[in-house]
Amino acid sequence: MSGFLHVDFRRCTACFACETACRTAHGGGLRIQLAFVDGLPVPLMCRHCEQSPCAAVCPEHALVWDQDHGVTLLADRCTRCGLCAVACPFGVLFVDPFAQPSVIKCDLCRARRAEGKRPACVLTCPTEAITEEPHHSLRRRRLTTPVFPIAGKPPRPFQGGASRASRKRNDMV
Amino acid sequence: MRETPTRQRLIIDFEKCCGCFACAAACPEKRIAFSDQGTERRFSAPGVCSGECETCRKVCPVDAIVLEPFPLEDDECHPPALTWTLPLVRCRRCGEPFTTEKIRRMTMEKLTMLLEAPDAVSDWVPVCLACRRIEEAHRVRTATRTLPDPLR
Amino acid sequence: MSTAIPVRTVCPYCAVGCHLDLLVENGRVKGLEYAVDSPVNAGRLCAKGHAALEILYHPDRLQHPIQRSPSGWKPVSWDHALETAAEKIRNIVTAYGPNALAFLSTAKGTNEENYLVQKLARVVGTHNVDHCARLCHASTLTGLGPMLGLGAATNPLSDLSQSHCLFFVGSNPAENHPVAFRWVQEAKDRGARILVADPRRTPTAWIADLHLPLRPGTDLALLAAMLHVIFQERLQDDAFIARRTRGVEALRASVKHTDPTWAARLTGVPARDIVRAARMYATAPRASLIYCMGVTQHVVGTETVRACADLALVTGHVGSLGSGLFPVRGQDNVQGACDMGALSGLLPGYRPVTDREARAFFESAWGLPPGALGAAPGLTVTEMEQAAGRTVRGLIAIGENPVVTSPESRKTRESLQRLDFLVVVDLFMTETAELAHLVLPAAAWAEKSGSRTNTDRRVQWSPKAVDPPGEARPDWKIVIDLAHRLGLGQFFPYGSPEDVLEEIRRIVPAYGGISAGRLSQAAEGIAWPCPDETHPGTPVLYENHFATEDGLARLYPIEFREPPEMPDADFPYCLTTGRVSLHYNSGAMTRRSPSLFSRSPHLFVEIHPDDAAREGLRHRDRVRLITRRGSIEAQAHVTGSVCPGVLFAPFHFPQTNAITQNMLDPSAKIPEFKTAACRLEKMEGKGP
Repeated sequence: MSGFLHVDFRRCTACFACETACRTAHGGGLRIQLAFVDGLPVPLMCRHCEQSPCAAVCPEHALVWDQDHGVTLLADRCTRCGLCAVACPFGVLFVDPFAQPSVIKCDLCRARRAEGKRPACVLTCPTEAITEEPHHSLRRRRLTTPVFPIAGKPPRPFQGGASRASRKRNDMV
Repeated sequence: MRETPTRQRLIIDFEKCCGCFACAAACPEKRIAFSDQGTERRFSAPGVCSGECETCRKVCPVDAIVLEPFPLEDDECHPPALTWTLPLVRCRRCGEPFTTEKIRRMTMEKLTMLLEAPDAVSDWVPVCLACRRIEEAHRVRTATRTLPDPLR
Repeated sequence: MSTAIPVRTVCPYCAVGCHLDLLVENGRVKGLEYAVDSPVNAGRLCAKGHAALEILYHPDRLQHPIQRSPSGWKPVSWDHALETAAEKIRNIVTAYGPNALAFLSTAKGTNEENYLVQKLARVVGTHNVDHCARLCHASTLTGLGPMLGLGAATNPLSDLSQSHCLFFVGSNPAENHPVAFRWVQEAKDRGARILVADPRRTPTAWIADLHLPLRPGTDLALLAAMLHVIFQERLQDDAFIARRTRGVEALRASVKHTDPTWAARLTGVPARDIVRAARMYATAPRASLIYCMGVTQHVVGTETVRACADLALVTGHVGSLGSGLFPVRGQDNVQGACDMGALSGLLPGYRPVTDREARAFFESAWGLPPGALGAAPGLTVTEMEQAAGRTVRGLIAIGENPVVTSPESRKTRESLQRLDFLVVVDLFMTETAELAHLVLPAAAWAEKSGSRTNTDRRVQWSPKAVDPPGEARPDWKIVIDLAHRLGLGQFFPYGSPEDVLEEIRRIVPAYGGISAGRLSQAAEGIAWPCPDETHPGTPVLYENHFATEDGLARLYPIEFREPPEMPDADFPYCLTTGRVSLHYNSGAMTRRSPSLFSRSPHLFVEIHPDDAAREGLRHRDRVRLITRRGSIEAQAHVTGSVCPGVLFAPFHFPQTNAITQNMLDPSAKIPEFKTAACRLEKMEGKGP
């Protein structure tokens, strides 16, 4: 499996390039955004959880998870009820009932990939805080450069089985 | 627009309605409306509509809508327009209303049942979207010990 | 598939000079493509670069010349507008002489345009031509010029990745030059040490090994103490000092008593950290010193710049790969505008107007009678504003917005209103244009061709991609047309920017080999000095000798002075200003970009939690900032990333400079933007 995004928020400089790049690539909507805590940024986007709360609550099964694409929206099934947004633990999925597409979430730049291009945020991030690198190379880079401690507990809401997805494919190494 | 041959009456079970906006988004004539006012979400819908489609009934996640044929000529006992309200729930962290009480309860129940981590659910469901992002950022920064002390 | 043709232009924002590929279809820019193969940015763009298209087709773009009339603004024809301008200019020259005119050129214009503006001013008979470099790196020119020979960055920014130690003084590239920050991050990945001296914990400081949170305006004390430590511990590069510099004894004597304990008292930085910083910087095999507005925008700007250069010189960290001095420029062509002589005291190629030979050279090159060029420097930006409505009667402002960018803006506004004639050439109806008598619509970066020089001294060609909206015209055309209407057509026989560049090549030796043809072939441009067509350009300066007369660098002794306005009982805080990553300078462009503005819509002021507690302020409360010059409202951002006693406000909003200081550095004439004694008042209600 490849193509999932890794975020090393310690490299993030809060330049907002990913946000504007994403908006430009998708024609609007905040699919990635910086959340700030004490002035420090953490770029957040859909984590494509394996046991996705958004998919779990969807009455029409319009959100589906698969190994290759993460959580995907099947637009023709979606009724725009907005329950998925309430279920998302990270607050990175939005529903605009009167817009097209209705569910605004990171789709890993499906359209760009179909043209053989890299996701907009990955391409544009000046410090390579967002990468598509598979896991092992990310870890190797850290080890050769002992500038930051290699730390990492997974985020709290996903304890136990539900945390599998976010622990595997997201920013903690 | 073509003259509609039949009409139908909307019967909404206000007790069942969870306060999502699937019907409002679905109605091809945009006749179901909602707006958040203070701590309430107000809905309005016609008592009778043109009667060709069943979109709203189909999309309703809680089956709160029933459609009944309504005689075309019966203008005498025209059912009144429907309005109903649902209480909104405030974010546990910032205090801003963000969704309806019912949706929050439903989400909580459903996730507790489906996910393997039932306890964790109560961590985020009572919190609004913006605060969830802040809490997540805080968790990530705390877990990696990258929250600095203030300058002295 | 789309049939759009990509046109590679140079981004109109900061001085990194990133490439933007515009997709042009049927004469319209359809979208943006990442210039993945560009050696400059390799496809990366910052938030502002992405939002550049929002400016190009912004509904507020000026499309027709407009003239002020008693009943409001009325659209006029170009013919009428240019004739009016020419007539007013002629009248002022006849009545008061040419020195009653002043020209503001622009760092957002191309080299050719800046060359034309200064030539027009000088052919009309005045040296009153200046631009916003006066407000950012004027002290670099006056500071570095006599020491090293040139007031420019010694190395390209990409060299930062090769450094072992990066010392940032009053510089925040993570926010201001985000795309260049990847080289810093690369150096860090290789294990380089990062030192940051800044009163705030900026995004640059987040990755610092050592952050020196000094009090605003005390950079000079910090640098002096570091030099003291270096001499004390014999960390200096004696071979380099002996071979390549002069004046070390005077410098050594001047820092004899500036020990870290003394500096710790002044700067608030622990003495131990000053010693560590000095050791780190001096002992690194290759080290870079990067400085920006935090150093230059002070009344001691020139001295502080010299202290930075002293530090680099005594440690031998100049003139090789990965070792350099980086005054990082803020605007896409502020380097070029300086090179082209759009400065009151300097002719193109940094020839001083006080130099008789230089004047004679330009008189003959331009076909002016001998003695036509004055021997006295003209007025600088800040002096023009002070003289406006007094000795200066007419101002031609091209792409500048002094009402927002100049200190103590209320006075600037008043003086501009006293002018007999103010013409503004700009993309938008800026705060300055509101005061004008005539406003001319200009073309944006993608609507004109020309060369631009980035902070690496790298000249890049940015071709025209689309036509300007409505009747808007490129600045070069406006200046040439105006010159013709003034009867000076013989001096302006140009049909295109390429023609102008040909003349620049003849006149400015450093640009001798930089032709339009060569530039359009060179993927990453050519770094000046490039004296002839076969010269590859000079990315790294001073490898063997400095550009001074004898080839040796001059070391200057350091004399510490306190900032002119220190916090006191009435005004207990020190207000400092700077940029944020989503906005750009006066905000004329970025405040109109929806995607940028929506994420940063308010003027805010950063305040330390301790200070906030004392003032009874909470995050997002509304506050009033009061200095001796006035008061403004802002939203309080309570954050531990500013020092206690320091307030920080971005200057992109028109309010900020209403309360900054109008004290000038005596030689560079740069205002003291970075410190102002200030007090706070809590206001009722939450922030906007």
